[in-house]
Amino acid sequence: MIRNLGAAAIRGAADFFYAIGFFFRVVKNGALYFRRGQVGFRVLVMQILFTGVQALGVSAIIALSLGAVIIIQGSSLLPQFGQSRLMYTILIIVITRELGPLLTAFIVNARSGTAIATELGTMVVSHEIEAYVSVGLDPISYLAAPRVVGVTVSMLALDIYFNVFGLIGSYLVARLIRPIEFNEYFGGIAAALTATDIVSGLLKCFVFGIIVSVTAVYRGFAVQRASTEIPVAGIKSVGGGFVLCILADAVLTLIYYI
Amino acid sequence: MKFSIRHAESVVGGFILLAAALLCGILVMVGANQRWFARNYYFHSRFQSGAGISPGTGITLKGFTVGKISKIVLNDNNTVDADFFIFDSYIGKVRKNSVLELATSPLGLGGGLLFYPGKDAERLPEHSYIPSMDFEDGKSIVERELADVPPRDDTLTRLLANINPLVDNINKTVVNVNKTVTTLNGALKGDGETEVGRIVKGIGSTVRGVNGTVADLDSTVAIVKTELPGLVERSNALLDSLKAISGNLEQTTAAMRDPTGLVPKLLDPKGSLKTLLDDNGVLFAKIDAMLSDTDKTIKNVESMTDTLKSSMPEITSLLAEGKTTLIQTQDVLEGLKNNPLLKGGIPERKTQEAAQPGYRDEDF
Repeated sequence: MIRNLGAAAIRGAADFFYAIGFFFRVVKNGALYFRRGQVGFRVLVMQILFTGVQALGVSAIIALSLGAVIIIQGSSLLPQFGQSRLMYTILIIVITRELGPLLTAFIVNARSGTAIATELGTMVVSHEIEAYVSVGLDPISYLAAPRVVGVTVSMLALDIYFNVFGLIGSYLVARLIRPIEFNEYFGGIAAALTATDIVSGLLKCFVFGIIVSVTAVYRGFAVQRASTEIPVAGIKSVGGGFVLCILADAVLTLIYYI
Repeated sequence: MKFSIRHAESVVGGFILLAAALLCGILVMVGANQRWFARNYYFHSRFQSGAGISPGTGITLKGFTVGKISKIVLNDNNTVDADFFIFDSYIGKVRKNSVLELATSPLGLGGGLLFYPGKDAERLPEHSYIPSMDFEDGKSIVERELADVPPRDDTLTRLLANINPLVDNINKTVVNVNKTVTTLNGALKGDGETEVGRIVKGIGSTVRGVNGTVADLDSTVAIVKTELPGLVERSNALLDSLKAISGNLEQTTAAMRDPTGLVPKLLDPKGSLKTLLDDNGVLFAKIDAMLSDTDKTIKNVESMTDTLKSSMPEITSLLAEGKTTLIQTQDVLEGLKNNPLLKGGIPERKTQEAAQPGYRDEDF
């Protein structure tokens, strides 16, 4: 039993260090991606199309609904305490700082994380990866790096759209239910929104994008030979992505307030 | 092939560029609102304590934020050095003899820094020292009225001053509501001393008065009915007597018109006087009858006068009561018309149909 426990610990540590090494290698390749010119550019474009453009509708609906709910609740509850102006602060905290990046990460993880893991897993099972290696193409550079960059860039863009829809578009939704002056609303938003909020939200999105994409790529490449491993890789990719995003969010928020 | 895949590069490029443009727009909006592109003018001051202020605390002038604290430091003398800046739009207010006041809430609800511009026209250069009212130099400026310090406006006092009239109004309202409810209850019971109560009370007494008046009217009519035949009879008798008198007077007048004259007749032994004196008492009987008729007539007149006299107070009182009843009825109707509490209005009157319809009502 002790032997088994020790073997499991050694295997776990080896996997952990392998994952860390893989993570840094992917991130390094992703950072150097633009220096390599057109290598994998088409992959990057398609990744942004699938991850960013096609997720825009879902992201917009969630942002509109969330913003409208906050405005309606805030404008009916907060004036009772004489704190109407807090509505804008709450809106900024929820949409720009916290839920915006996190919900965007969840959307991307659920849509693209599984897709990347499944696609790479299928490529492993069908020996496509071996074919890339055999012709001298580094799978990390050609397959992983554009996906990581694409997912991260998509996350940043989606977060900006989420903010726009959540802060501005939701005003239109809320106006249908509760009349709020346009100047009053946007004056309040402009007064409450700071550059720190925007940078904080974008930083979280950047980190979440890397986490989601690297996790998906890692799980996709982790498939060995059986096609039954592919759905498992997708599930593990989504689960791991959620947990890591929430942990990273907690750490980043903690750092922000420290 | 789908449009988005065929034109993937354009779609993605548009997606990224639009996101970048939106981000730039948001940053510009935030920057403009938070004065990233505006110049600030820095000054410094000193306070006894830094309680209630921190970097970023606004400096206000008559409710407007004119600047912010950028840095506070506890110095070697255990006083607080504060660096702050004034917005470029308010730099004209920073004149010589300007002072700062650190206002802290007595309830511990934070504080703020108040800026009072000096009355001097000379502007203070940037990085100048602006005294605070915590120290003698600042107090001296205020005492010499060199700074534009508004009258003390204690928040608590102002709040209490605003609350007191409100409480008074609420008390008055409660008293009025209580009084109204009491009045209403009394009025509905009919024993109130107010206008409504008196009206309701008056309705009963008026109805009783009307009933009494109607009863009096009935009895008066009955009396008049019983007396009327006698009166008519007496009047007829009086008329007969007057007729007889009139006939006698006619005869007398005719006799006086006789050309033979009364005196010769009287003097003539066979004349009237003799006839008058020697007519076996016919003249006397006539005079006596005439006097008797006159007496009877006078008595009838007296009786009629007495009857009228005795009826006069009743008629007078009847008229007075009728008048009073009409006035009271008018008041009651006015009161009912003006009173919003009495609902339902006046019930519709139903005319009593005759049990036996007349022949004229039937169609032939």
